[in-house]
Amino acid sequence: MNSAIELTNVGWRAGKSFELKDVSLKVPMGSIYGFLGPNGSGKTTTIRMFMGMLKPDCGHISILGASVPKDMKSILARIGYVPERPHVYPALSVGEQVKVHASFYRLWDQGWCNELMDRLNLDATQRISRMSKGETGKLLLLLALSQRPDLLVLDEPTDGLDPVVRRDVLSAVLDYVSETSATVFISSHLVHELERICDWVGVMDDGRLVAEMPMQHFKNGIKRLRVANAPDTVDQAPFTLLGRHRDNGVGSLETWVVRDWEAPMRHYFDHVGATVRDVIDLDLEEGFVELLRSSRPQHKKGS
Amino acid sequence: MYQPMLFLHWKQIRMVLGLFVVAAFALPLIAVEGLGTPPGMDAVSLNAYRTLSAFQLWLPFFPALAAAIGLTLALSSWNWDHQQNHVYALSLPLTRWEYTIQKMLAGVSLALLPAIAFWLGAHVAAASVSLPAGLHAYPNELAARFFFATLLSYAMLFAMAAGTVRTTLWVSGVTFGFIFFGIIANDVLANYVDFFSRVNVVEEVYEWIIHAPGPFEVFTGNWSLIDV
Amino acid sequence: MRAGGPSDLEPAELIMFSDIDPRSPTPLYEQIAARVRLAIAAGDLGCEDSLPSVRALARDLRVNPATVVQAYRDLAADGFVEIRHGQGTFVQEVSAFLRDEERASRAQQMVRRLLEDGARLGIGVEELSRAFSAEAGAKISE
Repeated sequence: MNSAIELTNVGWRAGKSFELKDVSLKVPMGSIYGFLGPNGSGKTTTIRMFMGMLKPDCGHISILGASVPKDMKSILARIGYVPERPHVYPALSVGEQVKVHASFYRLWDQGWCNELMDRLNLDATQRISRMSKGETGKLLLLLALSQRPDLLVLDEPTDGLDPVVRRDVLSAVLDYVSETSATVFISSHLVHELERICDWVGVMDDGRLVAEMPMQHFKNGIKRLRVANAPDTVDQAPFTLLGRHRDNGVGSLETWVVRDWEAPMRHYFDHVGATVRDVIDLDLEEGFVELLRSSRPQHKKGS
Repeated sequence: MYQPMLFLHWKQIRMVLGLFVVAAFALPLIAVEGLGTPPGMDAVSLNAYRTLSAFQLWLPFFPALAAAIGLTLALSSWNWDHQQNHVYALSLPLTRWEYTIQKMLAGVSLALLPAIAFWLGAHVAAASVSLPAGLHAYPNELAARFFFATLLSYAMLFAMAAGTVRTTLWVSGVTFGFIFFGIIANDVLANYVDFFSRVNVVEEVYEWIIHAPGPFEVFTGNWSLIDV
Repeated sequence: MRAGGPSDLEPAELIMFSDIDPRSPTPLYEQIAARVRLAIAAGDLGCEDSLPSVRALARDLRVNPATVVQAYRDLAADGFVEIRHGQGTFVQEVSAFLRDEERASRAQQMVRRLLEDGARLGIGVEELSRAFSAEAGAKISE
């Protein structure tokens, strides 16, 4: 078993409005996998699918080597889940919710839980209905981590949280991973956060997985090129052209956005009589935007 | 090991349950208050007495209370789940069956509290009345009937409360539809087929369900604490 | 209030790594390793000084622990540190030659970036040189 999560050709449709189309996703064991995508792209639906909450119309899902939904009970015992919307009971206190949660998990570590409660500044006597969004977020993470899971599934865990709480949440996750080599699946639209911690990235758009690759490859591989005397057609290129457009009024200068770029590919341009004036690095967010822009059907192409 | 379910259910319902416990204890006592001990009362005249006494007025309240407790337990079993769309339940390492049965057992355990209170009340009520010869008090039987009535209403409503609003509407709709259209159909068919002019299918089904020895009989049967 | 935990970073160590830039094309593990090398070259880290634990550094910098592990492995491969299992990562005796080499390499990187930025903005070597003298001169006379 070298995948913590594996979806193969998963499809799902809900009425006419939304569907997942042929999603094949692979999360390597022990990795921190960032799941990116705009709102409505199907991230939460995909998560619900491998958590066994939704049944796919077609395709196969396996988690930690076991089959969904056949072995769901044993799988869920090893997953720490932080959903988008809090699933704790508002009428309980923190301490009560912890006790309830602990009773379901054999591997529960109360010592670790106490330490985390301390670190995350949570008060066991506080009523959950009176807690702020940040404190609730921290509680959800506390519950998930104290289970000592093999897989952490975090759906927008830091959304709407202030920077201090975000740091606490991420630190706690990273601390856990250092100690246990657990796998983390984190869905977020806060691209900057993912940039630091993820070693794999998957991008969803409109119900489809449009890209999946190591983070380094994603960051380094997507570049903006300033090209002079650009050829009209691009064939046999070693890189993938995501999009091109002519710069305003500046002769024959074009801006190309490419993927899977490597430095020696400059020579391609020499062969076609063009020159690369500049290779501009894109950060994760910009690369992500370019990737999405290119993967969507365009009504007006390029220049 | 259904402690968490019991705890969660208790947390939601403890206030109301307390009220039910008080009501369950008090009801038998209130019911016998109107029952004096006229001397020389024998079995035959008890029937006449019954129709007159205030005791008669209280009889429907026993099954009503049992049903109310069942309803409250059923709704509170699933209330919190519905509020968060069952997400928590679905993320726990339990099969749906395990989860549901543990929840149900929690409700049954809580139903014991008012049942025991009722049992005590029935005994106290029976002891506080001096009965003429030929009449007996049946506090144990009555308490058992009360407990079973509670469980029955809990079980039925538990199943409905677990479902979505859509399921509940379906069930109610089908039942209502059967009754309504069944009666009409019966009347129409009575003109053509002799059988239907003698027999009202819906009524027969109703009679059979309600009165024959079976679950519903628990509600419609004899709720008398004191009888021959 | 910062989280407490095993082997917290000293404030000085935090500053050393504070400008890690995930957006830079240089991989994070390379940036971390470079800072350690520079600290060794500058004499801030001496022989047998211990580097922060993987766990602490990952947690406090909020980076993937695998990144820290990679950085430390690269440093060990280059002979700057020694990884002792169960004990930590310790700075090795680094020859003066290596230290000087590291500094020279660093200085060259800085100049290269300066020249690239200048080229992009159309500022030539001449102008940069003049600016350099002006700035450096001002610094020396301070």
